Amino acid sequence: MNHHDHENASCCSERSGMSRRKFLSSSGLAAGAAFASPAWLPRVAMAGAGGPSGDVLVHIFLRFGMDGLSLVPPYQDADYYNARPTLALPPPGQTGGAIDLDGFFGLNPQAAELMTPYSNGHLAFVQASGLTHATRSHFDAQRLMEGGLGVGVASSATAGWLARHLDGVPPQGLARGLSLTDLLPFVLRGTAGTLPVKNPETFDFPGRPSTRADRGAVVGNMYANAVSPLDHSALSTFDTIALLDTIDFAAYTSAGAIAYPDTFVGQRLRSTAALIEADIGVETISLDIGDWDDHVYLGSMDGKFALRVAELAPAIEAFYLDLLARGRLDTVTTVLMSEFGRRVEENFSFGVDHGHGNTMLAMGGHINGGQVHGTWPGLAPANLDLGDLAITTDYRDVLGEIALQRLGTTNIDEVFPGHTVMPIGITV
Amino acid sequence: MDGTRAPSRRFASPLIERAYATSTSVVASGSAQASAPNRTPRPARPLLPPPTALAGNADIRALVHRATWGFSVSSYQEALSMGYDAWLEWQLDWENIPDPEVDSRLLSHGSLDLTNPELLIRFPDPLAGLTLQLREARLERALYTRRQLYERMVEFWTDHFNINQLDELCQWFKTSDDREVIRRHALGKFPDMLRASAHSPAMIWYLDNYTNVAGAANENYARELQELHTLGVEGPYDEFDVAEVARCFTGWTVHGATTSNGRPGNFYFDPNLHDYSSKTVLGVTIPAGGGKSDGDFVLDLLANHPSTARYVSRKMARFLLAYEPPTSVVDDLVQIYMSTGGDIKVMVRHVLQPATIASVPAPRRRKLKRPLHLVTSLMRAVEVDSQFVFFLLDDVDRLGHQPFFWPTPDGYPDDIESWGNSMLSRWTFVTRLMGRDIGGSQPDIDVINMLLATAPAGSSLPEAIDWVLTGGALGPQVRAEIQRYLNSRNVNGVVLREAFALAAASPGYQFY
Repeated sequence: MNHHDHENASCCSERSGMSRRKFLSSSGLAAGAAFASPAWLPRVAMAGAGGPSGDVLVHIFLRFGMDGLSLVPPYQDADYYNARPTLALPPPGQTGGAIDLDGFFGLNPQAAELMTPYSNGHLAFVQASGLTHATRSHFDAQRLMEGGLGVGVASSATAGWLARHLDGVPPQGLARGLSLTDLLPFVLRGTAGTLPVKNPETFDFPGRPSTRADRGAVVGNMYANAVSPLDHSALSTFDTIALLDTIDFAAYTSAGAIAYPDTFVGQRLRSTAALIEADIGVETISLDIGDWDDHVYLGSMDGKFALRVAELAPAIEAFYLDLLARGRLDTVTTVLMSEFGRRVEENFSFGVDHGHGNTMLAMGGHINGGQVHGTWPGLAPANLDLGDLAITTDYRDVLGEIALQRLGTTNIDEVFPGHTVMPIGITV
Repeated sequence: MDGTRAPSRRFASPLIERAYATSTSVVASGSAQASAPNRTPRPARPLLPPPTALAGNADIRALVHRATWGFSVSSYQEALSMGYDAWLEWQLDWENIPDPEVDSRLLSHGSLDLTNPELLIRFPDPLAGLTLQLREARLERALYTRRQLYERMVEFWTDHFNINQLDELCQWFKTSDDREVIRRHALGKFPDMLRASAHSPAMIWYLDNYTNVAGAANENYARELQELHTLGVEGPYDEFDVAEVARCFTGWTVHGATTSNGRPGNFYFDPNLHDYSSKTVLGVTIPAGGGKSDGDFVLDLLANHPSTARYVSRKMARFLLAYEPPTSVVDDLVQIYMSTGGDIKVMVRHVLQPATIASVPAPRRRKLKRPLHLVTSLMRAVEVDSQFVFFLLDDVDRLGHQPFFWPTPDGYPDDIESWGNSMLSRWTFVTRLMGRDIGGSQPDIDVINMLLATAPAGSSLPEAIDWVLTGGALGPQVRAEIQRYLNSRNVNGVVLREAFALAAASPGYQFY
């Protein structure tokens, strides 16, 4: 085929010709006043009003049931070794043994890099935490947790808990909650200013540069009265294009001692740090990491699980050291969680089925770190919940304390409806 | 009736394009066709409705939007000329619709008819072609089949019995699962599809049932069988039932996974791995000593359970009709399911009756096209004659909707909340396609020809674009925006394609 025309050919080289910044300013986008859409104006007026209400929250969801018992093994609990003859990590001091955390719990040696923030008192674990609802369904459990719900609270929420939190605090900018994913996770759904931005480096309006502004205006107008969530998603898209244009992601490197690993997780966290460092008013950044559904061949020491942990931990360490070096550790809180842990007893296929209680992680300058929080219910069969680790700390008490102490949440009863947050001392 | 597509209509007459540059308001009537002498003649079409009735036959337009991979004037005219009922019956009787274009396009995909043992031998490295063939076929069938409704149902069941093609042996096995489970039963009987799925090596591998053995059950399949395939998460089962069903399916495995006899890759019940003690499932006792019949019994129990009928009925009505289908429609489908033994064809026929569709007010049956649906809609509407589906899959991937890649057993979501926050990737796709910028290839899109051939006489350009894309459903505001864009520039082919892209980027085009 030979339909090449020169005008058209230029459309695919997005970086050539007019710079994106120039396009944005010529269209009025950079000034935040583009597209003559009435919906813009109050939003612009709101931007920057008031001081920061709280930390940036980095919300990392380890999807499909991360096995907390293999990340933070209770090496002093004999029932752990009874239940997991092939999967249990040896105690500290033995070959391939866990790294001691507090004399009772250890850390998977593949996650050794987590000892850096832990030893500095900036990383905490919460054992036997989670969603007390009895469901062992991934989809139910994720929906409930991202919805900030639990037992006895209707599961028909249409917004995530972070979205509801954002509804209660003054916006710091136009792009309030970004997820580095294809689709917006439920935790951020249901409010304006939240958007999936899979790769912030290439987030740009498509087509010929010479007509981009006009076409952008047409699209902006068409979406002004679209149904939710298309309307505010479209507006957030233009906001975010303008904001991200101010950031040179490609040039961003860690200010800390360790470079970001060239892995999926490492590069996502590098983008996360660049977004934070740019001070464009992003209040929360959400990442999804992994498919941890290891029914078969879990590989706690040298298999699938270990590989995933070995990708995660050095990326977290690099992120931590970067924030520390930039003086941002005190204003960024990171949480890592999964919808449930896995069955205590390993199955015949060297894997573990869906479970219940799990480990949560929290990291930041105001996290009461260097310790394992929570009450350990024990793994003796009589202490289990349908064969699974019992839950002694409701996940909402962890997130709720962080929300109240670090995020400036004003509407905690709406963020976690039907639940009275009982702080566990995860923050300082 | 225009069934087969004209092959590669390469038409780029500068004369015609120049004619448009001087007229942004009028698409010439039928006589303009004659003024394009170099063009491959299109088959005759039925007389079009007058321009005042741009919306045409609303019932038939709604049917085409719901029963195909996207509105196209060809499909609309096809249905118009046959009549509503006849077209629907024709589509339901899919096996008797000749599909020569798809047949010829699939000739190059030699893997689609192979058995698992053959696939394992023929494709030592499945990522070097095998997995791609199935995904290309998915796209080609959606785009070019005349069995549009059938292919929509294939999509529905593919998600219902989702399998991640990248999951180890599923790289081979999904090919046979697609053929033997999904396609064989997509308009057949649900219990048959359920049984085929339970015996499908791809499902057995994906949900780990090959590791489910006496004394150490693996619950993965048992759980999703009840939660996702039959009863639904609200269904009347509990953790005990999950454990018991798992024991019923002990020993359901794949040759080669746990034994070395037989041809690797086929279903195999291994009597040595089965738990022969008694079980209780949903309150029904299964006596000890059963064997494979335990699992077969559970499948029958689940397939005939009213909760399954309701779960499947509601999900189907949601897929075909509206996010919140009326209870009365779901009740009807449950009754049909129970009285026909889960006859999918009868259920689909009921959902697509004019009265059923009309029972939901138009605004409440608007559903967001999932990304693949957007892709196929636009390509069907502008009749892209594509030999480049390989490149197109990259774009589908950027939209987050690569066929068979959803990692978890719930399948790609079917809701506005999941997809409605990702507009930029949609705008980018429609712009790239209409800009002929798909993976370095240049799809053959002849917009001018399209307008000339199909738009009602006397239409303005935006009306003509709306006509081609939706049969006139985008509405006056979108048309006014596009007119404004055209007013400020000379309309050549590039600008006209941009106008198409704008219309396809509009909120209205994201819905069906």
